[in-house]
Amino acid sequence: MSILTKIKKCRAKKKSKSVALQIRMISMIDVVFLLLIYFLLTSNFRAKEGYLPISLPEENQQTTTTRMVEPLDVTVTSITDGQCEITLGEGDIIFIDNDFGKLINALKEIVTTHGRNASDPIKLKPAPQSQWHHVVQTYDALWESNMTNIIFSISQ
Amino acid sequence: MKRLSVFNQTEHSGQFNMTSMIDIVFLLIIFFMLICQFIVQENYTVDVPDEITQAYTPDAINANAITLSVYRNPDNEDHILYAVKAKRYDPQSKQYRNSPPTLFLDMAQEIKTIRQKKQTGLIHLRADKSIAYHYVHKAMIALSQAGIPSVQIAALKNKQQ
Repeated sequence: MSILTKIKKCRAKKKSKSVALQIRMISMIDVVFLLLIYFLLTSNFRAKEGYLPISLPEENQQTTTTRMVEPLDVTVTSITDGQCEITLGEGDIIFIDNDFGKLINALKEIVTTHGRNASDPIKLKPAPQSQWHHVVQTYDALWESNMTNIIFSISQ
Repeated sequence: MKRLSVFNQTEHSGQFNMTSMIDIVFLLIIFFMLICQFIVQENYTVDVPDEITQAYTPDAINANAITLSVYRNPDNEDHILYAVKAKRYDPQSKQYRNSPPTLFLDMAQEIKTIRQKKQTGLIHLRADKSIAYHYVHKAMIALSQAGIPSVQIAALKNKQQ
């Protein structure tokens, strides 16, 4: 094939090429990345929280129920970070240092020695300056001992 | 002598084919938009108590729940603030400084109003674990005044990292 015929063929190919539609994606990539960066910066992730149910006394509750069993008073007093003192009833004082297992054991002992049932009422009386964390951990320990009849004393 | 190929029409130029990357970026955006559950404005920074073994974690967030938050002011950690959903209450403000009981009456009224609108009685109490109990106790008084019999304390089952 001569050089001239080759050139003619290439020119014919060029002419017969259809014009392809081109979409310029550069701006869209910019916008998409801006959106991504915006969502990454503004999203504020929080750990999925669980819940512990508590029951509060209703205000203006005039009916007084006579209980056959005196509620067991549980007093919580925080000493330092991680340490707190829990008083069960009138005598037993338990010193907790980040380990509420001792409380669970003491509660089980009370159930067996004092003849109390797990369904008997418990009155939770945290000291005003006690840490909320210690109060909730005490509540959790009571629930773990199946003592779910817990009352928070509400006084104004 | 080598012949130069005049008819070599393909010019190799460095080009990135961006089509696949755009697909992946869109997939990522759609994924984040579907999994994110937005909590409107009431997501205050609160370190709730952790290592609470009996805490029950629901499968989905209850959008009808009323959140009562007791948290430390991020600008001044000794200053405790309250919030009913997105509405903040500052005990140190002019309005409440001289009459502290008004604060809890207002909070109780707000809770009653929201409860009537949403027809829900579910309350989530989110309190910072390092806060003294008497601050949370006051929030409980507000709930008691609003006639809320049952409340759920927000807590984490595992240790917070």
